[in-house]
Amino acid sequence: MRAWRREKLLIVFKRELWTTLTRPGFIISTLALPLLPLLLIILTTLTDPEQILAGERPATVALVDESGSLDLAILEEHPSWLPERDRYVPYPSRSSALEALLGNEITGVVIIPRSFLEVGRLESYRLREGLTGGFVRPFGGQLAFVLRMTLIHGRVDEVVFERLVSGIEREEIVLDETGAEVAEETVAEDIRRFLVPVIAAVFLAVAIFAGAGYLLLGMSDEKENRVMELLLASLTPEELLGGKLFGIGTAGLIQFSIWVLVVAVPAVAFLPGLGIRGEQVVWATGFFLAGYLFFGALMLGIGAITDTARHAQQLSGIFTMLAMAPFLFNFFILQAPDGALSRILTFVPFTSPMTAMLRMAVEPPGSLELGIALLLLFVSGLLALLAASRLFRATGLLYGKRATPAEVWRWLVRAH
Amino acid sequence: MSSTARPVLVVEDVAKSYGPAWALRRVSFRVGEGEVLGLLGPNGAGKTSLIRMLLDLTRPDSGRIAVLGEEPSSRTRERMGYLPEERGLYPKQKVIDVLSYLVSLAGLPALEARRRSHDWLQRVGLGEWERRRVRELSKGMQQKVQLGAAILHDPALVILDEPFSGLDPINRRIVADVVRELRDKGAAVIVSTHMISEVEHLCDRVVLLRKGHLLLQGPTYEVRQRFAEASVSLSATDGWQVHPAVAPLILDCKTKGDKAEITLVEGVDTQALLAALLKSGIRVDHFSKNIPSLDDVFVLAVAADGPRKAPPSSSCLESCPPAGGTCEDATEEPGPAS
Repeated sequence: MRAWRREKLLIVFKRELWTTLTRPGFIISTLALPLLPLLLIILTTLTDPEQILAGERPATVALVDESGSLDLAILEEHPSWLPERDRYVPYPSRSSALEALLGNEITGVVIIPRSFLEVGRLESYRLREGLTGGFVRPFGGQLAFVLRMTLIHGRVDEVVFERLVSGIEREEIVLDETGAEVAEETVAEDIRRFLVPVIAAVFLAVAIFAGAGYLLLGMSDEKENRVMELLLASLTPEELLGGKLFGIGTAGLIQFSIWVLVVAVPAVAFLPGLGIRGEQVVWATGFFLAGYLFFGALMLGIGAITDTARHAQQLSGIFTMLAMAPFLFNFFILQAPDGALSRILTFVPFTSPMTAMLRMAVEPPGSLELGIALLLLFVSGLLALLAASRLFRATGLLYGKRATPAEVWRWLVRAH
Repeated sequence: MSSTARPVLVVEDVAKSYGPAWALRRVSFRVGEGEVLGLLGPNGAGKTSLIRMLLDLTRPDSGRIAVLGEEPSSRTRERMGYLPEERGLYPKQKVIDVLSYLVSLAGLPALEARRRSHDWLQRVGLGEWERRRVRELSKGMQQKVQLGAAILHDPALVILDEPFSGLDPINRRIVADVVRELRDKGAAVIVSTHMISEVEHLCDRVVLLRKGHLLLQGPTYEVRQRFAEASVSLSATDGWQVHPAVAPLILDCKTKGDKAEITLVEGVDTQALLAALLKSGIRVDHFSKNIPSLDDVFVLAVAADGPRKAPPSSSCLESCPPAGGTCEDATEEPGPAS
């Protein structure tokens, strides 16, 4: 890179920073993106996550016993056998119960038919509930248990009866590599285990590509609007590229910091179970900076060799897809964070930031591994910036020409 | 350049090629303080290539360029103002912000840049537009903003590439006035254009390029004089008829009413014709020597120069490798040895 004049660099830096910070798209994404995870944090803090997903609600169920098998007295002795949320109301007949269901007076109907003892089948009725119908919890399952208990009550030993009532519990003990017990994971923890890494990687991807996208847009705009020659009369290509990279990068860092403050800090404070640690935030910041340098420099290079925003976006899509590859393989990465695929993707600059984020949230790789990956990414970023600068020197004032791969190579090798 | 003017720009034997194609071949000229130089020639003559070398955007293969006594560099660029042919602005931004930004990039402190930008917009009638978006301005208005960006930092050398293209007569006059003002302040101004007739009355000196070659150069009037044929326009009070006394001096005569266009026999001076007319008693109302326009001079000079194949187009020039490689628009003359 050639010498930068600090004052020129600063002028471009300030302009790019201010222009980016005041873009409506930047403001909206900065404020809106953290809303989804924030909502999740609030919901997870206030309620049981299993309940959130299940979407259950209390039900009033009509109970019609046509078989005479149900001993309601036993229910009075053991009120806990039926779910507290649901209310079972005895109805004299099937027709009266169905009439009440159609009149929306009750949520459902459970009928114990005459043939129950022979067939062992209950009938339950509910109304179709549009799109959410699928999420309505089936009722009557617990009632079948009550019926079974009614049938054996007084016919078996009291201890056996109690065992049957209490059911058989299973305790699963999970061991780590050292043989030590690991606390059993709940469904909620499983959810967090999946959501946290994906959300963190998405945040990183958005932060990197928003900045890189603004760089590409700015370069394409200046070429398309024919401002470039006016700028290059006062600036060296390095001053122009450097000012843009730092200015938009600073805007990206501000955005990233806001997201960390708004999402990660409350998450750490209120949800210690998420397992977010300070060192993860530090690594994430490092990967953001190096990732932005790498992808930003690539976008500058693309901006240099294309002369319309459309062509530039087409080319940049190739690199964006490469960067998003870890999301395609996230199942494998999350299942085997130390597996060969995860490790390879961590060292490839294109996939390094997103893979590292996914892995860190599940099972952090060693500091050495992360350090090497970060260094590789950073060095690749510097090389990409050097290449972008050479391309820009060769093509900054070239209009109306589509670059072929051979020409790009020639510009890279021969630019003065 | 007048003998007293200090040279602001010296171009000596500058040559530039792109592969086998010549963009410029051994071009030399100078521009002094307080001088307006017309860098003239048709499209593809090499004007833009030369300007980009003056701005250190590209480097010559051989020869020497000195701007204010130094090789072109980012430092000399701060003393230069440039209005490119391919020019644009940021359409979504406010006029005053764009102009201030460009002027501050040229080297002025931010506040001073803003003050001068404001004053300039007032001066060129865009005061009411300074808070509007650039895209709301007409092409002529935008051109005045771009001109401001090229000159508001008081450069010693101003290069205006096709400054009149797309302008109406009123705005052309404004630009011409600005050029004269810059000259009066002591700046050296290069006006590059293919519209030769536009700058005939503006330039103190001209450099005429054709296909990368320096066709001719010199003070504007002298260059025109050089190509002046031995011909005169005249009108007589009693109408014109070839008098026997002057007939031996005249090769050809075209009359229209009382006016005549006369071509003299080779070697006959116009003063000799005037003397002969007066001596023969013809009452001459109007008598003037015909001086060709710069357009005519260019045509005559090209005819004298003979055919040359066109140099590569500007896009090809930029895309061709600095050395080696191929280019479809090669000159028919051999390229540089290396």
